[in-house]
Amino acid sequence: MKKAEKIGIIAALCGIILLFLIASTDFVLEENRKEVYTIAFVTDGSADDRFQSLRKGMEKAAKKWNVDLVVDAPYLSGNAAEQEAAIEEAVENGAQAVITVPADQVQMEKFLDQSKLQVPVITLEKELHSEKKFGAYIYDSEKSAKKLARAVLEEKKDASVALYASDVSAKETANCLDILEKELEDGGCTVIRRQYRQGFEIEGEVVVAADPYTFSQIVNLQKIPDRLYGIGCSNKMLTLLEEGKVCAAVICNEYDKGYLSVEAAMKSIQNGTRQRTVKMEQVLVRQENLYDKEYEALLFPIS
Amino acid sequence: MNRKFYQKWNAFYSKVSLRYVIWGAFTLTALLGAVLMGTSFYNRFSLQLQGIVEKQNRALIEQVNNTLTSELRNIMRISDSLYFSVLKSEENVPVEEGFALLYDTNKSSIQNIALFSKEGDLLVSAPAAKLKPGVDVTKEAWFQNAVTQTENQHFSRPHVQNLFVNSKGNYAHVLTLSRMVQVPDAYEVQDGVLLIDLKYEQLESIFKNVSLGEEGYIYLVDGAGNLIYHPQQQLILDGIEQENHEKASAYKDGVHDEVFEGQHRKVTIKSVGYTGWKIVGVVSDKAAQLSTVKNIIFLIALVMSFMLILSIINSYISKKVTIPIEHLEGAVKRIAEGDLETTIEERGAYEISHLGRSIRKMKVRIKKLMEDIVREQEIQRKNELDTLQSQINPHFLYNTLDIVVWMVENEKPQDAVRALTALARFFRIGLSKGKTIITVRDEIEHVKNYLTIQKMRYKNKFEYYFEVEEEVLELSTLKLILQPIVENAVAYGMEFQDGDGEVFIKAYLKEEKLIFQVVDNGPGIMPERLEEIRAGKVVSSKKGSGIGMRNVGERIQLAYGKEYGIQIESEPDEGTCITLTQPKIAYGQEGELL
Repeated sequence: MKKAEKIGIIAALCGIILLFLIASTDFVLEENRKEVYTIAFVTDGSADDRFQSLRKGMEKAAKKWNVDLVVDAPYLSGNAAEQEAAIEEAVENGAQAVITVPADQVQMEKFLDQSKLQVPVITLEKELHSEKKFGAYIYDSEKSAKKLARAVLEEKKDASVALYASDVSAKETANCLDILEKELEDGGCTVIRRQYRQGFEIEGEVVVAADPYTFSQIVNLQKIPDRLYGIGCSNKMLTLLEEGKVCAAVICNEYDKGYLSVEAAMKSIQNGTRQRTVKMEQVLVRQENLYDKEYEALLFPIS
Repeated sequence: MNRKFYQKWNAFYSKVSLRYVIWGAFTLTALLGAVLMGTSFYNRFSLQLQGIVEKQNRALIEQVNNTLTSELRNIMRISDSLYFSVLKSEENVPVEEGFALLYDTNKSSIQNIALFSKEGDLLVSAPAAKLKPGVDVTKEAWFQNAVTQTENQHFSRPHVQNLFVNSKGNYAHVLTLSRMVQVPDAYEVQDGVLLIDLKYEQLESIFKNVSLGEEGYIYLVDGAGNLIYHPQQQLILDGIEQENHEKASAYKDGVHDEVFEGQHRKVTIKSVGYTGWKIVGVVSDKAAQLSTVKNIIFLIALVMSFMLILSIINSYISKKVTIPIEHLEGAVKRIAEGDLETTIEERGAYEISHLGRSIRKMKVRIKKLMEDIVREQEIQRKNELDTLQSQINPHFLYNTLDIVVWMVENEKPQDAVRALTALARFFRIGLSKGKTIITVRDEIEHVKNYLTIQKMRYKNKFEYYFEVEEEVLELSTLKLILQPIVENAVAYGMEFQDGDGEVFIKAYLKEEKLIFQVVDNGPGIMPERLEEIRAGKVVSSKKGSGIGMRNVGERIQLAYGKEYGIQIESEPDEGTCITLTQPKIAYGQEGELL
């Protein structure tokens, strides 16, 4: 047998053995191996029920994408520094992406720009202007403001309205406040802006919470304003809405927001894809249409 | 185009070794066979696997159906118990107690039990609860169904329980079973609606953990195509995911093929009793296939193993067949280059060994023929040299000139002239301008001139006679074949004669052959010597011209073949007869040896 033929046979034999090893063992190719991804969801510290539907959506996406969803929150509600520490800790513990509801938009932007974090960050409710931002799911501040203003004016045109917000430096919040103020004043109302602070009393004939954090904090107070409007959704808010203690709320599909945010985080981890900012569809819900069929799926997601 | 390809193919094929052609053909055929067989088996196994998977899925869905039906029947039995054992009980069991008892017993699966009047007033509930302000149950679908279709129990679609005050803030999803009932007299009404809210999670638990393979799932749909349960229900309601539930609700029980969003799927349908619902099992066509990456790699490895083994066997067989051919080819090549001593092996298959044997015989024959040619050419060359030499044989010349001198000295000028004339003619014909073929006439003339001189030399010891047929005179003959024979007859036959020696020279045709015969009445040749002469063992004598009989015989055979030549007959004391045979060829005719 010629030398070339011998070499060919030996090479073929080696190739066959290798292929059999690959096909029969997991040394080279692990077919059914599913990689587990870790994604951290760091809230702004507001009440858990605010994120109930959101987390249902997140968990649904986590199951689909084989994600280990780690939920964390600052000890003090709305504390930006603690939130940043929680994010850092989550990344140190292996989180491959972070979804967060920034307590303070400007501070969060600074933090991300200055930090050494190398993971994609998806934000909810606020849009960051940072290199590290890989996507955002927010309310349409203009539409929300107009819907709320209309709801207030439909009930009383010349009311004295207090606009509450916590993170007034946030672009969406600032925009919402501006439009609300303008619409209400154009409608004949007197408008006063107030910074929401924990522990401080809420005052005003009509109170409008211009961001979801503020809204969720106010609905959990012992003494709730008589006429309360707001942006955002929680079980407590729905109960109050049903009881008539909340007059109207602008709500988006929290379940979808949670699902899509995890999906976006996954795509960022896998491909480095950056999602554009998504403005969620929102509806104005009152007591009378709370159980309308068209809103049932949005307000009460099946999980 | 085909012709070009064909030419290129032929050019390539002629350069490829037979061994590799055989190996390649066998290996390719085996590969095709392996691929064909592999594909057939794969398809067959795939089909069988699909069948098994379908069967298992049907069994699984049947099981789920049984569980679901059992659960629904259980709720319906509770409803019957509430109606017949509580509401219509003749034992005056307090309705609230009956309701509470049945609720407590089944609260793991029941959210609420309630009895409403036909006007929508809450009469009894378990657990005890208040209706939410502003709630009008008469507008609810479950109420209207119960009121309009009084003979049946009705299951609603999943919905959020929104009837009772919810102090905990839980918004549970439920399925409502409603029926028209006869309300006891205590409530001063006649008809009412009995409601049982089945916890949606109870239904969900039946379906949640059912798996139809990696990408398979089952869902529940009502007769109108509305989803009752789906693993992706919320996403479908929100429009993020899609499902073909509306079409599936119209399928009959059994297995159906469908294409949805570009994916081929097998859909198994099973109707649920009492409700008009359908369980839909969805399995992707890919799920029952063997074509995972590892399976494909395994298949490739298997085919490669098979091909390697076959390749080795093919190589061995083709080598076994072609090596003897290669040896033969090498041997033939060496023979063509002139090496007739090369060894030719007779091995391999029958045809090859037979071929080797034939080539070896051919080689031997070629060698012999070449040797014959060399020998014949050697003889011819020698004969030509001898003939050339004889043309200027000095002994004959000296002797003849001696005779002439003696004649001149003895004042016999006429004889001298005759002798010299004969000598001149002898040499003229003998040379014949270098021709090897002359006419019979010239050959006879040559002999006559020779005999004229020899008679003078031998002092008339013998007489010679010519008997030449007229018709042979213009035929062709080899030059200088008759004279050597006559020379022998004179030299050996007439030497001791005393005037009565006779030499007859005849030339005639017999059976289309030219016959020269020289007969003498000399002492003859002894038999032993005659045999030696016939065997060619006697070296020709240098008497006379020096050519000799052997030379003549060889020349005739060289020129005309073995059927011609020289024959010697001799009897001691009787004489000798030598016959030369040549073919009859007219002088200058085609076929003549020049």
